[in-house]
Amino acid sequence: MSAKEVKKNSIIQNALKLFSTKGFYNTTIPDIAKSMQMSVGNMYNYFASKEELAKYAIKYSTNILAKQLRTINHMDISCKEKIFLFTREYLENVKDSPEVIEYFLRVYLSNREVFAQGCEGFLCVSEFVTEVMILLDEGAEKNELRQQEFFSAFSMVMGCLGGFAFLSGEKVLDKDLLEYSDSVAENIYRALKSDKT
Amino acid sequence: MKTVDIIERIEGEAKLVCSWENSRISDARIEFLNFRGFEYILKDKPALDTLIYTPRICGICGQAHLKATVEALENIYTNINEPLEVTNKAKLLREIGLNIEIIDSHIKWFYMFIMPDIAKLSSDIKYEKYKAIKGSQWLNASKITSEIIKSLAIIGGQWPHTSYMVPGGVMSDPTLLDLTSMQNYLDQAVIFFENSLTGVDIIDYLSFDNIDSLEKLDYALKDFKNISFENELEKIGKSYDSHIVLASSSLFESAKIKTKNKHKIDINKVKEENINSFKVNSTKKDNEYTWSKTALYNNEFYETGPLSRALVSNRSFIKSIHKEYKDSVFTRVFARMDEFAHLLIKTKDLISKIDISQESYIKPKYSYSEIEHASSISTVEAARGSLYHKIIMEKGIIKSYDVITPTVWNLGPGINAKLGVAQKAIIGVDSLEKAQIILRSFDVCSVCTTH
Amino acid sequence: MTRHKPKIVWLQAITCNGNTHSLLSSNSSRFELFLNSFDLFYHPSLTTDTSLDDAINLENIDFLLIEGAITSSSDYFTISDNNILDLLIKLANKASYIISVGSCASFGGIHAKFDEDKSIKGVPDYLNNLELNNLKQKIINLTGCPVHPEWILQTLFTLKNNKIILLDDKQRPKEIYYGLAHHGCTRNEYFEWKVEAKSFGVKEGCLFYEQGCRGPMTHSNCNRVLWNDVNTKTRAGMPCIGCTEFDFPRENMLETKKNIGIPTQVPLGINKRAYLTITGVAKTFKIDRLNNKLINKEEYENS
Repeated sequence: MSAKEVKKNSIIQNALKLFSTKGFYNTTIPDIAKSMQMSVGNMYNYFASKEELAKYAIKYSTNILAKQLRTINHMDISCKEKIFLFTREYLENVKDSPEVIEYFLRVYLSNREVFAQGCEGFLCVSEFVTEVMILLDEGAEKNELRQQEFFSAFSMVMGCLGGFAFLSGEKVLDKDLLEYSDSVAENIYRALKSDKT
Repeated sequence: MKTVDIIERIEGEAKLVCSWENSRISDARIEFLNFRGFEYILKDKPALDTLIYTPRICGICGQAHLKATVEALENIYTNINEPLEVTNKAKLLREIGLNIEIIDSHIKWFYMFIMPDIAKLSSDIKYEKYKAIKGSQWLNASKITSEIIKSLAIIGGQWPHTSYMVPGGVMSDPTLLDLTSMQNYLDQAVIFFENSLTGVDIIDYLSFDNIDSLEKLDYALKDFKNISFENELEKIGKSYDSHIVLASSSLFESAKIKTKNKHKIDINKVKEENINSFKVNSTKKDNEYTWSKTALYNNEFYETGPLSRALVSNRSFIKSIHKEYKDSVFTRVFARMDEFAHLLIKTKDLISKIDISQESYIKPKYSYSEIEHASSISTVEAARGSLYHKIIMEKGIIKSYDVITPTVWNLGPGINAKLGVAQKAIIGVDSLEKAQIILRSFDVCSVCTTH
Repeated sequence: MTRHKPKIVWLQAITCNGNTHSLLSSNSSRFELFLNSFDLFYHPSLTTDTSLDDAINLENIDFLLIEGAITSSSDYFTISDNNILDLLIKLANKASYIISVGSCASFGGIHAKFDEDKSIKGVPDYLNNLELNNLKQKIINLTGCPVHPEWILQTLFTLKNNKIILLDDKQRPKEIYYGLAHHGCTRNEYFEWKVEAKSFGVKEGCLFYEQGCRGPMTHSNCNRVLWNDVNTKTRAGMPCIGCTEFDFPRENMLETKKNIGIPTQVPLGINKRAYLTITGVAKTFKIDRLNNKLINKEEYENS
């Protein structure tokens, strides 16, 4: 990774925190520059606009998940085990870097107009969506999962995980987040699993 | 005395075994010794895959099998009281496709499978043009058939072996320009009919209603007529003269004729016997001599094919020829070429009737896998006569698929001292050459017979 | 110009004769040139002056073409009272070139699905291990159900002039089968942008997603060398059923096998992850031109 890319990622990490706590519109480029101890002018060397930064940020944050799921997909374990493992890693993310998931929920999903040009649909999240496809495809191929429409299966996985991150963000959970991991995974798996197994 | 001859150029081969008494054939057996087992192959296959399999029963009449399969599959829906909606456009495109294949088949049969043999009956060198491969007429016929079939490829994508018909309609969606091209290819067939086959304007020809009009013919049909009369082909090849047409279409009426009375068809009276036929997985018995089964209607033998269709549909020119020469080789061959003219003009008319704004295909509401148990029958008029398909299906899987091809009606073995149609036609003639021509006059399709 | 006409013997084994009718449906001037350039010595459906025995008695056969599958059993199929395999070997020993015409001759095809005769196979299955002394090149498979007539003509003319033809790992002429049926399909743009055909019977959309089209996995040049000079199945609206491949006929040929909505097989040699990523991206763009009817019903009604 070039020095410029390292710097870019560092800006994104800071921006994620600000965006997810203050909201997209309440965060300005000078705010981000300040948190980076950079000049505003220098910031523009890295990102031409706040919108561009926002798009990079969503790619950055979902690629973290995509990478984790890709590693899991490559493992020689059952689909059920993959779902349990991924759920755990995902919730660990929520716990350790809540800004990554918060950004997805509170900025990406809530401010679609920001992402309308060049980041619509799956464009900025395609690597992660692909890994979910691979997970589901292989599970169905091995008859562990039942056949259904892709989007109904996809929303089952993502709705469940996203919802749990929301509950965590709202601090309404009475136990440690990770203690829920297996039961969340169990719910996802049961919803998708083949009737025959 | 006994003679055994292998007959080729009948879409495969057959063996003609004749017993002779006083220089005449006293008994004849037509043996089809090859079996490909399509009904076995089709068992346990998914319903829609039959659309791919059955056209491959036969390289020359695959579209007839395709249409029979698609209609049998559609009849399944009718039989569970959920009839499919199929647009008129789709129905037309199916009938047109089948007709084009029949037209092609009739020309090939005349020029490649029977005329070279008929021409050999004469020593006149002017008939050398009918020689296989080398003769100008043979080549001319091969050219026009390759042109005509392009019109089917426009809607089917290719020929042979397209499966463009599907329950609910057809897979293609031709433009008006496509339909125009189809008309153009068929117009070339019209020119061929006028300039190579008959020398008569096709519309004038279709108005012929009297046997005297035979005198107006020129070119190939005139040659055929002259050689026929020189060799008395109008006197041989007669059989029961009972005719059956199982299916109807824009051109053909379905009915049976026996001793002049025309009756409606009751499909349940169609029966297949295998008393004298080989059976799969069992040792051959003495009386068994062919893979062809025997097709019967109400326990009687019937002839099927263009002659039967012309008689049932009351086409006056053939009726007047038939009145004079009965179900002879001459009448049978002539009826087939007469049908070429009628099909050609009818098909052009059908193309002009297509409303291209209609849907080509309407998706069925239920899939076959949702249907617990169902069976159905379909019938189609193919080049060589009536074709029958019967399906029994459970949850979208074929449990049984029965095919009765036209050639089974005509060429199947006799049973219980009753002769088969072609058997009866052959017995009594005084030469092997003639016996072979009689056999050919039925337009034998060996591959279909023993599918 | 001296004209040596190489001798062709065409054998029909377990077949529907579809390859013969395919040849007869070739471009007519090409067919005429073929008849003028070769000596079609024996073909059971076409020649009248020669018999199978005449073919067997030939000293040398330049091109032995076989249509249909082969069996070593005589239980269900013989050719003029000959066991098919015996006859094939007799003829093969005289042949300079052996060409399996169609998928049945090449791999057994549809006829190999007849379970009651387990010995139904392709020509190479029986002949590849034999030492055939006259053979100038190993057996050539022209697959397809039926074969495209132009493939027969191109192969024969090429061998006549060039003596050798490049083969792929399935013994097919590489220059015919290097590409996929997909190449040249008029629906390609729909494939690029992942716009599926909404149903059968439409001009719009790609048949890969629902209708089972095997174009991107099937070696053939159907969409470059058109059928009957005018069309192809996929152009007309019928999915490719992969008839040139060794696994034809497969099961459920008119629907795309999918897992949770994702095609189980992706185009040949393409990494599935890469394919799915591109798919997700392409599907994001709703392109009006590709999602609209090419010709609206109203336009017909108003014309």
